[in-house]
Amino acid sequence: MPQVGQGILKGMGVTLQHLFGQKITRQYPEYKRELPERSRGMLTVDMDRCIACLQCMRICPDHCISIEQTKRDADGSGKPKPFAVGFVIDDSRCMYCSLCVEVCPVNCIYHTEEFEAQAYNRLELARQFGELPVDPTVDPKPAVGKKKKPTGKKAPKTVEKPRTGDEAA
Amino acid sequence: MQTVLNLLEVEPIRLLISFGAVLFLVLNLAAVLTMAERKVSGYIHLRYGPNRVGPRGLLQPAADVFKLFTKENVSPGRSDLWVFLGAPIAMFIPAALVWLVVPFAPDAVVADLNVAILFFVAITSIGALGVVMAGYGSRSAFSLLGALRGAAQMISYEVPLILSLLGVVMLSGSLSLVDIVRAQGDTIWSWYFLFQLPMFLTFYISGIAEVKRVPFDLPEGESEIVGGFMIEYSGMTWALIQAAEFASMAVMSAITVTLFLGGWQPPLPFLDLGAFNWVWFGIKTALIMFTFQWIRWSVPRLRMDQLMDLGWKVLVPLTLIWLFVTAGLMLVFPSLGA
Repeated sequence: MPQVGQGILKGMGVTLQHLFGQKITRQYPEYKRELPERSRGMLTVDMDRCIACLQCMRICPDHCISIEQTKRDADGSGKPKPFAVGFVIDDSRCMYCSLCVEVCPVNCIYHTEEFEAQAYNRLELARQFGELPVDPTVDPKPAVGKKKKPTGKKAPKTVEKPRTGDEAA
Repeated sequence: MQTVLNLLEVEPIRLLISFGAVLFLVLNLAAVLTMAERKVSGYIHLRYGPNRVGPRGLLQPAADVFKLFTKENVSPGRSDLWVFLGAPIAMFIPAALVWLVVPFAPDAVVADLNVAILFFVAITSIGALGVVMAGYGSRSAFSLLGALRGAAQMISYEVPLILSLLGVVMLSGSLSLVDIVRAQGDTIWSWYFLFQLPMFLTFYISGIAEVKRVPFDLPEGESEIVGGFMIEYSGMTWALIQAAEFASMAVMSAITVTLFLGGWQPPLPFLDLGAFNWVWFGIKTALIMFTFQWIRWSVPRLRMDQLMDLGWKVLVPLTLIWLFVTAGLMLVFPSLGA
C-alpha cells in the first residue's frame, strides 16, 4: 500500500523538472548548427576543371545529371578536347548518394554544405552550370543494351524525345 | 458608469449581460487553454511550443481560430447529418451552462441556485449524450468505439463524483455553492480539502475522467482509435468539440475550487482583497487547470478494465467509507457541521 502512486509522483517530478529546465530546441532558421565535415549537401561543379568525361552522368542512379558535350580547344593547345557546354544537375532527383563525387577523375563535382533546396516548381530545382541550358526533363542515359552505342566517335548526346506535357526549362 | 451599474440591478438586463459575460469567458477560455496546453506540453517535452505568431507565440490562438473558421466542414457521406452536426452543440452547451452557477466572488454569480450542486451534476451528465451523438452520427467504426467507451466511462465515474460531493454537502448543510464557499472560512486549514482529503482526491480523479482527459482519455484514444468520437469532425465543428472539452475542464476545476479549496476565500485572513477576491478564485482555478495539464503530459493512459477497476473497486468504496467517517465525526463533534 505505501507504494501506491509513487511511480506517478516520480514521473510527475520528472515532468516538473523538465517544465522549468533548459530547452533543447534549436530555433532552425535563426540558428543553424555546424554541419559535419563530410556532410552531403547539394552538388556543385567546378566547370573550369571539368573534362566532360561524362562519368558522373553515367553513374548517376537517378539520372539527375545531364551534360551537353562538344569538342573545343579550350586550353589553346591546338587539339580540340571534349568540353561540357551544358551541365545541369536536377536536385529534384538527386538522392545525395555521392557516386558522382567518387567517380569524378578531376574532383570537379563535389558536395556543398547547402541543403535548403526548395522551389515553387519542380523545374526550378534543376541548376544549370554550363554556357548553354540543358533540358533536365530528358533522360540523359539512353536505354542500356538496346542499341549499340556509337563509341569513340561521338559522345552520346542528349536525345530529344518527344514527350507530352513537358515544358522546356 | 453609475447608470450602467444600476442597469445590472434590473433583472432581464442583468441576466443577459452576465450570460454574455459567461459566454465570452467560456469561448475565450477554450482559446487560452489551447495555447496553455501547447505551451505546457512543449515545456515538459523540453521544447518551446508555439512561438512564431506574435510575441512568444501569444497570438497563436487567434491564428488557430482564423484557420479553423476558414476550413471546410466535411461530414461523412452516409452520416446522420442532424445528429452529426448537433453533437458538438450538445457537448458545448452543458459545459457552458454550468458556469451559470459558479460563484466567482461573493455577489458575482449569475444564478445563486439553492440546488446548484444538483444542477451541476445533472448538467455535466448530459455531456455524455453529446459523445454518443457524435459517435453514432459519424457512422464510423472508430467513432462508435470511442462513443461507447465514453458513455461507459462517463456514466461509471458519475457515481464516485456524486458520492464525493456528499461529504461537503453534509458539512456545509447546503446545496448552494455560495453557501458552501462561505462555510469554508477564510483560512487554508478550514477549507474542506483537508478534512475531506479522500473525497477531494476522488472528486479530482473522477473529474478528470468526466472531462475525458489523459489518464482517462479512452474515448479519444489518440493512439488506438485516432480521436475516437471526434474522428470525423473538421473545421468549426471540431473546434466546438475542443472548446467544449476545455470548457468542461475549466468548469471542473472551478467546481473543485468552489467545493474543496474555498472558492473566492483568501488562504489567510490578512490576504483578503475585498472586492477583488475573485482573483483568488482565478488563481486557484488556474492552478487546478495546470495540474490537469501537468498530469496529461506525465501519466500514461489506463486500460479499459483498469479504468473500471479504479472507478468501481477503489473510488466508490473509498467515498462510501469516508461518508460514514464524516457522518460519525459529525455525530461525535456537532461543531463540525455548519
